[in-house]
Amino acid sequence: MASNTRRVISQALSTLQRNTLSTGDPLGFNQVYWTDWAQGLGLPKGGSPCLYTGRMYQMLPYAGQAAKLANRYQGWLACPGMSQLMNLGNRLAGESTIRRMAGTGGEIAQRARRALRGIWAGLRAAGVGPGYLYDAEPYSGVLLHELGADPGARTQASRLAALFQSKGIGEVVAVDPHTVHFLRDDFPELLEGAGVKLSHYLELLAPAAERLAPKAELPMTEVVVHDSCVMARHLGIVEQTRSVAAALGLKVLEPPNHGQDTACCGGPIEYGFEDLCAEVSLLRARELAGVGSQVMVTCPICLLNLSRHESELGLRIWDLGELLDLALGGDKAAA
Amino acid sequence: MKLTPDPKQALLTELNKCRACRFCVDVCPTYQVSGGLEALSSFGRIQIIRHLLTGMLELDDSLSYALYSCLQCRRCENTCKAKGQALEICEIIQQARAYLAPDYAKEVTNGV
Repeated sequence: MASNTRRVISQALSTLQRNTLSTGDPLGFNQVYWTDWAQGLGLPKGGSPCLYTGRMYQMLPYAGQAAKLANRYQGWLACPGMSQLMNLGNRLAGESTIRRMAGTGGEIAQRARRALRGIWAGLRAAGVGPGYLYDAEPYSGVLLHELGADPGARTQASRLAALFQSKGIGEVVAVDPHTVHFLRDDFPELLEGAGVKLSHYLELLAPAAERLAPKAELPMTEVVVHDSCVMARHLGIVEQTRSVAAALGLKVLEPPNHGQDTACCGGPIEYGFEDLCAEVSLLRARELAGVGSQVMVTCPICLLNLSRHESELGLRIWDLGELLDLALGGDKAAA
Repeated sequence: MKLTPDPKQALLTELNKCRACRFCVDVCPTYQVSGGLEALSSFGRIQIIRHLLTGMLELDDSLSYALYSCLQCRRCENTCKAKGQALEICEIIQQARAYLAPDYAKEVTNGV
């Protein structure tokens, strides 16, 4: 165990909170990075229902690098003055350093982009046709809440609720389970008070699954479904995932520990416990690999963490959004 | 679980519902990969929280590690529910983080 765990957690939490509350972004980025996926799709700006990404998929390439950076220097935090130096470094060069390390984002950025485009294509096929706030879309504050920093999380979520209200958005469709659980179950009064109804996209896609007839053949006929902990146990979304996969013509293979009894990918502790996180994700990836090589996930955090074991175990991790994109031709549909 | 108006008492009331059956230990992913370190299990964490709240323990690096390495995956809660208690273990841990370490989210200083 780290001998300076308190400093590591404190550094991570204070950085996250300062970034979120001062720039509106957990990474502290000022330059917009969360709208590229929507390029060329012609989504209406704003309007209700509104697609809310919460920036979770888009930050994957940067979050991975930020966690790597944080873990690399956590031993230095024991040195006097180092935390202030790191805070200063983060303020002055955090964004440029993380962006440089992430480069163009690599394959995970492409997957995230494709997942969001697929989710949009699915919603459109289901007749939802959401708008999008583009660069005005704020971050939710979910990571602060998950680490126990509720005052900061509440402040950010209140800003979000106020923005939806000010734009007359009464119906919001979110794409990741963490954001939905945080806004709908942990601080329900904020969105309810703003008159906003929040859904996860699978809650809208599953009842309209018959409208998701694939236009293109998928590169596999069966997938091993990894249920996200938050999706299955917090939101109770289990069958919806399977019905959407079946609508795409996929046979669902169930791994050991599935549905309500699913096992974690390790992602939530990556920010400060890299080794433990890697061991947990490897444990789960091995369980999945024992059933099949094509794995389907429905959460950006699971996508990032499980995909790290792809070459080692001969796996390919697909986000359901990616499969929707391939099957429904999100890019072609936009053209 | 609502912690107001007395978060400490609310946490202790919840913790007292635990019958110490320990069925939740084996399903905890961090316990599984730690080679059986009970402090990194759901049951171990709630015992640590109980002793932190009652003043038997002080929040040091090792206990912070145990408290903050919880994945919040709620697998333990499934087991607890199956055994008839249905404690919101992850909620307890999350609320304990907020109550026991409110300064962690503040600006880091050398005094931390």
